[in-house]
Amino acid sequence: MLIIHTALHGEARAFIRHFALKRQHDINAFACFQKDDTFLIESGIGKINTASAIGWVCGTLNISSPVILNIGMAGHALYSIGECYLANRIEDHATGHRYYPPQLADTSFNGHCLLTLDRPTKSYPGKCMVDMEASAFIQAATRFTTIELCQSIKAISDNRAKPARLMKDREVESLLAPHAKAIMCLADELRQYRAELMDNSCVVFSQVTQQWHFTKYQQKQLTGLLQRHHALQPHEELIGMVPTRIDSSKAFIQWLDNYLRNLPMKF
Amino acid sequence: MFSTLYIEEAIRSHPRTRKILRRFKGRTVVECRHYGELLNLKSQNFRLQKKQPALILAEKRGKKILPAPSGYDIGARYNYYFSHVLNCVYDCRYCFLQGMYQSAHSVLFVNYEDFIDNIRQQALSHHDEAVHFFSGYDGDSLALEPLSSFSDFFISSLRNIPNIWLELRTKSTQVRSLLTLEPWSQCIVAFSFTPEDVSNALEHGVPEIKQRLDAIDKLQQKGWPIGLRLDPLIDSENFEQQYQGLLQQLFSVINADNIHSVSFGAFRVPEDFYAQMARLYPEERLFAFSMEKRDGMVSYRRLREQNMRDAIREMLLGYVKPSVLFPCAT
Repeated sequence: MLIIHTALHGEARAFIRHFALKRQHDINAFACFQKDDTFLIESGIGKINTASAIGWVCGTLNISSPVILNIGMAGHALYSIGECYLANRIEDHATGHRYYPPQLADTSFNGHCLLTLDRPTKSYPGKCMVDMEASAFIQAATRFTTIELCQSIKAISDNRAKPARLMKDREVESLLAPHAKAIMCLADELRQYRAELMDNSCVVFSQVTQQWHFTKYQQKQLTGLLQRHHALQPHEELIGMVPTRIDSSKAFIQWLDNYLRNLPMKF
Repeated sequence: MFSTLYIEEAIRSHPRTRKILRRFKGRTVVECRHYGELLNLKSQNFRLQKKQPALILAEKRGKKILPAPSGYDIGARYNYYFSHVLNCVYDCRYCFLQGMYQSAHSVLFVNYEDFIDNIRQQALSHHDEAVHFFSGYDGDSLALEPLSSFSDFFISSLRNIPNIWLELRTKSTQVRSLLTLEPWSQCIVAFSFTPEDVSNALEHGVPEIKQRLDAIDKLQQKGWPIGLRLDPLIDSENFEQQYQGLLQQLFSVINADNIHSVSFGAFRVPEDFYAQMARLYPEERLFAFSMEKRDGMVSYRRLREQNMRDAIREMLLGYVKPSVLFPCAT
């Protein structure tokens, strides 16, 4: 699952088009768009809007370890308008808290620090890019997924020579659209990292739980046993091996536990 | 090896930082306040980070040396350990570091002089009695040597203190700097091994046994004391055959008469570390076998563990004197 967060509609447009996302009209709190396993949410400007949107979307979708991208605009004293950077340090100006999203993906974006402010500014403090969402994004997103899968990508929209001003959606889109392809490559690579965290034994889990009723506690036991089986005998078809005398969830758990105990330890 | 370098702001202009930075030209450098900001964050994944770990240059504050846990000695009454690195560049599936740290980034402390001061004071407090200092508990001692120049500095600084013994524990072949130094009879270069099949399955990124033996050969020819560490012992259905083969391979190169010490101990990790390791790698065979929880540790069943230790001791006695054998605590 890929979740894209933007503050503004203009920031989202290139990605709505790229993924052919459809507006979810039954959702009123935020403008949301979805197709298959890609979900985009527009939060509005600022930290509270951002944290609310991330909390809402992650809580509602309830997906394990999603990839979550914050895509938007940022200012920088000197960088040229239209350049795009991946935040390698995100600092909240108000609290001083810092986050360091690790850069696992092989990307064409240069990394740079990003400072999240509570109010718009034309003074560009320090050497970092400035925005109004990223610190809230990373703080909220890392409650639902691991920090390696949370990244913030910012196109420069203003600098000292051309300070921030109100921009039309189309102008905003034109800043991000040239980078859409590279952003999608980054998302694809992160999705591959995510796949590594997924449980390979879930297909067997659903086959077994369809056959017998497992309590919550038994489901936990079953998950552990199936993971062990997958580790020891990754190519073995477990379902076909279950003896016909097994007629309950309890009997299945006992049988599988016993079977695993008797497997030889091989390296 | 590292694509990103994090540097604590306070040591940005430390000479050792500047030297390392010169080797990182063109790579991403990010300033941080304290290495704990990166290492201690809860919502991060060791397994994912291990694919692209970063290096953090930091200053070690507070205590720099700690008493070694009992049962890990190699013959001295006073034993301490210190860690100039946290986390390891290698990726051994049995390693407790996976359960201990949230992050796979390596930390290199650059204030070597403070470590030396602490070690010297501790050694002096024990007067003339031998004091052993172990390096390599929290990360490989020599693997970062081309960047860190650790062995050169520590050996040169400590060798004139008569009651200090130093152990450098490693799986690395980075011995070039040791070979340029005059051997020190109180510095044991201790290499860890598991049998080849086990190593191939569980020790990712570790130099092959043959390459490590080449490094040992060079060091012993130069006169450096060599230690062997068969810790952890990893069980398998052909345990005896695998370890017999390993010892044959090792002692075809190592001069058994001159070996300083051999220590051995079965795979064991604290319960909470084990749970974390198994969560990170649910598909790993090592964690799929039945283990036993005892006194807050997870290990093989007591009887099996004893059999493994007895068997390895018996095998080792075919090569070395009993006086150099040191079973680790269970």
